[in-house]
Amino acid sequence: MDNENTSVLYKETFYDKIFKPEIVTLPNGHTVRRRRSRTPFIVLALVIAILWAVKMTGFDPSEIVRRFAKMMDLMKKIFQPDWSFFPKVVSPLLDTIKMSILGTVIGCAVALPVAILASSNINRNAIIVSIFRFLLALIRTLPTLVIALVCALIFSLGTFSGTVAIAIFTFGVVSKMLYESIETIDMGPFEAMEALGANKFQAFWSACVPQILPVYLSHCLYCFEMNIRASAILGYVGAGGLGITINERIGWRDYNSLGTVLLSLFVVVAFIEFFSEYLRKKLS
Amino acid sequence: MIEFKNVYKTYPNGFTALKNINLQIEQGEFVAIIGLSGAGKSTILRCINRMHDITKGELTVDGTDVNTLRGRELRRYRRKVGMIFQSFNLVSRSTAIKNVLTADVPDMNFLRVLFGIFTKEQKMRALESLDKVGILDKAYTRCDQLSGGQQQRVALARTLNQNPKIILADEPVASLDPITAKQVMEDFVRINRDYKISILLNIHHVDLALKYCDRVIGIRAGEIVFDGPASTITQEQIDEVYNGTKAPTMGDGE
Repeated sequence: MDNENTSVLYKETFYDKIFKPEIVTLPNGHTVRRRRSRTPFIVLALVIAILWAVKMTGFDPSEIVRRFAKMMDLMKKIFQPDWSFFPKVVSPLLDTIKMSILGTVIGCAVALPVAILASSNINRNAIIVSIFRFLLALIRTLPTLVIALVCALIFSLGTFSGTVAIAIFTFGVVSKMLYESIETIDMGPFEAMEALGANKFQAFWSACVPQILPVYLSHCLYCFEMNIRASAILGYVGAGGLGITINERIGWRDYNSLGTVLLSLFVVVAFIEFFSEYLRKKLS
Repeated sequence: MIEFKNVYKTYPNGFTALKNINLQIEQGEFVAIIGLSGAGKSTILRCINRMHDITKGELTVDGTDVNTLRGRELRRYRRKVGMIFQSFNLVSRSTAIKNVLTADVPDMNFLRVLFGIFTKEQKMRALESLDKVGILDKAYTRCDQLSGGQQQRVALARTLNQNPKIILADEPVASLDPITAKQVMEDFVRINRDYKISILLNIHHVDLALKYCDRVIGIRAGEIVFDGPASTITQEQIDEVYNGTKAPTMGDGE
């Protein structure tokens, strides 16, 4: 077998010219080319990147050992929560939950139609699809904290800003996850509906929506889990909820009360995650 | 009656799938279309319900010129033409009866479609359709829990539920095992006989075509090379349809 024949099977890159492909020959004379692995090259690049990052950030493992005692000291206080502080946690905790629920509901409601418009298998207009996707990508580049900060500046401090920030964040994430799921649905039933005389809306509604709905609800629940966690932090920038209390307690060096706040948050987050996971399992 | 007169079909990519097709199929006939993959079997079926447009010639069904139908007229015409697919095309997360009920959707008003409200009569009729193909007991089972043969029967029930005059079946048994394939073919025979519905089906398995269908149409590279009663086709004619290669069969014992 001449090598001219086998070399046209793939495009020869610069790498292949330096590290020549291995030619495996069978006893009967048939040959096949095996390209040299790129793995050593990638490993080398990763090692260089990590070393560079360590140098840049001034990361020093001995610092962790030296400050270990201080960390333990702080942890000890956090794990001895001051339960007399608990009544002051309840109200902001409820605020946080309310913010997350309302923000998630609003964000998800807007996400459904937008995700449908951003799915290339449903919306055949490539221009509209790319416009929506660009907008969604834009929204997703903004961290929730930044959105909350901007909202706090626009709508004044408080839970309303937090709710808007969560809604915007939810909208960006759920739309993205949803249009990716919509693009994997089976379009066969849609074709069947068109073949039996349904118009586009009827076909979409009867054949696609039953497939989309469970996935949509599952994404909404997952986003709600994320939002509970995220919303606790939003108070930091004045968007209401538990974050304000956390910030305040750290400021007062009141670590025992901070422990109360964090443990209450932990219980709520764990419960909601457990419940949401159970529901999502039912949906799939 | 379905009538093709000098029909040509060229796809946008320039591939000519049908060349000068002339064909007459009377109401109530049971026709198998055989040929290699890419010979144009699917294209013939999909031209009849206008899932594809023809490029040249005339295609009439009961006197209606199919290629001039637009919008609402086309959808009303499609109500009378059922279609069965190789991959069943059911909403697999929904129950069998829900899938059968979708056949009524084109006749319903917007709000009823939106909220999925079906009348008692519609539900009874859907159950009767399932009963006609012998899977009434699976009516409230989700389709992803059903076997391939059962799913194809649900699809058949959905088609019967639209009360068609013609059923087009595109490789209806290609993804079924040999035993189930025979059962589904027998369903087709029964439906053809009992309800006088014309059935056109594409099939790879020549033995099944010869055993169950009345008439066989052989297509090679977009042209009809055989058209006649299943009982008269000879081995040479089958070989001609398949370019001289061995014709595919189910190959299992009776």
